[in-house]
Formats: sequence, structure tokens, C-alpha cells
Amino acid sequence: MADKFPHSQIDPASGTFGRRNAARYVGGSVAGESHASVKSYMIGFVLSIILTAVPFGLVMDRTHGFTASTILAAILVLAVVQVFVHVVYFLHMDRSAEQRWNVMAFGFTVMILVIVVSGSIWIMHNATSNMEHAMNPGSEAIIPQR
Amino acid sequence: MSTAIHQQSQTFGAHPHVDGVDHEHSHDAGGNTVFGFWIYLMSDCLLFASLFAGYAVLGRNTAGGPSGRELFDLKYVAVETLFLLLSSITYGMAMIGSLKRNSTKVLLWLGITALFGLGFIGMELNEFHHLIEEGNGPGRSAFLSAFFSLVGTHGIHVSSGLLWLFVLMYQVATKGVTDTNRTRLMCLSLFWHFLDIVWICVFTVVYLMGMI
Repeated sequence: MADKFPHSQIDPASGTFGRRNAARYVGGSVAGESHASVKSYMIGFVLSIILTAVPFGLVMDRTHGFTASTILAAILVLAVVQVFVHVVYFLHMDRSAEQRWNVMAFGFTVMILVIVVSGSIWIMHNATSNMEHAMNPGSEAIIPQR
Repeated sequence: MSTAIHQQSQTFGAHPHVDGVDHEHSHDAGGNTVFGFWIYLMSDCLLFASLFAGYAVLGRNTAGGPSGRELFDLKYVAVETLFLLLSSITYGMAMIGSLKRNSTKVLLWLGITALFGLGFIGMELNEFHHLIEEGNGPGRSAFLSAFFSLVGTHGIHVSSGLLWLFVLMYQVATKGVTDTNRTRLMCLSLFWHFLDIVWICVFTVVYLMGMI
């Protein structure tokens, strides 16, 4: 019986599934299936350690003299970078054809996520500032003052 | 006769058999399972998005109670973070073992992953226990309600992942690294790495931003 498509065609050099083999998972190949290797996990690990240590250091050790808003911006940027490091090196997401649907689902989710989170913050920020305005004695507030 | 049926399945089947070996089918089903699981993870992501939005909105409403600055210990959180990150790497090593169908290696690395995962959950439960004991439970303020909902939901996910991990260890130990088990390992891999990604957002938004 000729086994034309042996189901565990592992590239002995890298210990991963070969590209040709991975392409058979069209529509179903997800992150991690095809490109996992010790090297990619190690790169991801080292980058993650750095991207975790730096923000913790910035917040815990205040002798560096950066302002609070600088630290805030830095830790948010570092968090976003680390999320992408995990997506690339641990989930093995890339721009190849067999990953397209995974990436599209991910992109759509990120879009909804940004709308939900930023929308909530924006709405509640406005609500809070309008309430403060209403409670200001000098304003034409319809809320009765005590 | 059997050839005729086989040819028919080649004509009408979505995934024709190449040489009558059925593992072609199970393979495609595995790929679809993993993709379906990915879609689930994306919806789970939206669950966390809502909880993060709630926390972002209510995080400062302490109702006269303690704020994050008075409650959080960043050194403690750094150790939790390290445990979760290490467990991600060790799970990756288990996945590499599964590519080579080496069940001993898979079991060893899954075991190490479980230890780090248990360490993380143990530390989180300890933190929650201290907070509640000191009267700073979820009922204290909107800030603490949002905190317990968000961090607790993540913790429940990690606990479920651990339960799943133990079940998979049993399945690999009894059946070996079969195609089905490999698909299962793949799904849990996505789940486990996804939880680590959520934790990056948790330690940044809740703990680090709370201490600035």
C-alpha cells in the first residue's frame, strides 16, 4: 500500500512539519501546527522576559525619574509588543496562505475589542465630566444642590 | 464493489481518499477542530474585552476603600507572571514532543507545565484569600468587584486549562500520541498560550497601572 501522504512528515532538520505538509491543512491549519520549533519558543521566551522585566522595573524602581505619563505610555507599548511576540513565537501566526482565516478572525476580534474598550472608556469619561459639570454650583445645573 | 464505492466517495467526498486509508478524513477533521477552537478563543477574547472595559471604567471607584496602590504587591505579581510564562514555554516543549510522537517527552513536559500552572493558581488563590480576609472582598467597592471579576475569570480559565491538562495527560499515557490526541494537545496549546496573552494585559492594566 503506497502511503503517498504519510501523516507525520516531519522535517528532521528543524523538527517541524514541512511547508508542503502544512499546506494540506488548508482552512484548518492554526497557529502552532506547522512552525513550532525549540528555537522559536526560546526566542519568544527571551523577548517576553525582557518585555516583562522592563515595565515591572519602570514601575517598581522610581529612581529613574520618568514622569507617570511617560511610564504609562511605556508599559502600554511594551504590553502590546509582548502580545505580538506571543502571537508570532508561541501561536506561530504568520502571513502564509494556510493561516489566512486564523489571522482574519484574530484581526476582527482585535477590532471589536478596541471598539468595546475604547468606547466604554470614552463614554464613561464623558459621563463623569458631565456629572462634575452638573454638580458645579456656578453651572445651570438642573440637579438640585444641597 | 468496494472499488466502486470508493470511487464514489472520491467523487462526492469533500476530502477524497488517496489510497483508501481513512486517516485522511480524521486529519482534515482535526484541522477543522483546531480552527473551530480558534474561533471559540476569539469569542473568549471578547469576554475578556468586556471585563477589561468594566475594569477600565470602574477601576478608580474605590468607595472610600483601598485602591490598588495599597493592595498590590508587584514582586508577588512578578513571580506569578514568571510562573505563567515558564508554563507557556514548557507547554511548547510538550508540543514539540508531540510532533515527534514521543509520549514520554510529552508527558514529562505536560507535568512540568502543570506544576507551574498550579503554582500560579496557588499564588492567586492566596492573594484573593488575603484580600477577602482583610475585608477587601469583591463587595467592598466597584473597583474590587471589577478586579475580582477580571482576575478571577482569568484564574477560572487557568484552572479549567489545568483540569484539561490532567485529562490529556491520562489520555496520552493510555493511548499515546495518536492523531486525535495530537489535535487535543494542539487545542490546549492555543488555550494555554492565549491565557498567557490575557495575563500580559492583566498585569499591565490592573497591577502596573494601579501602582503608577
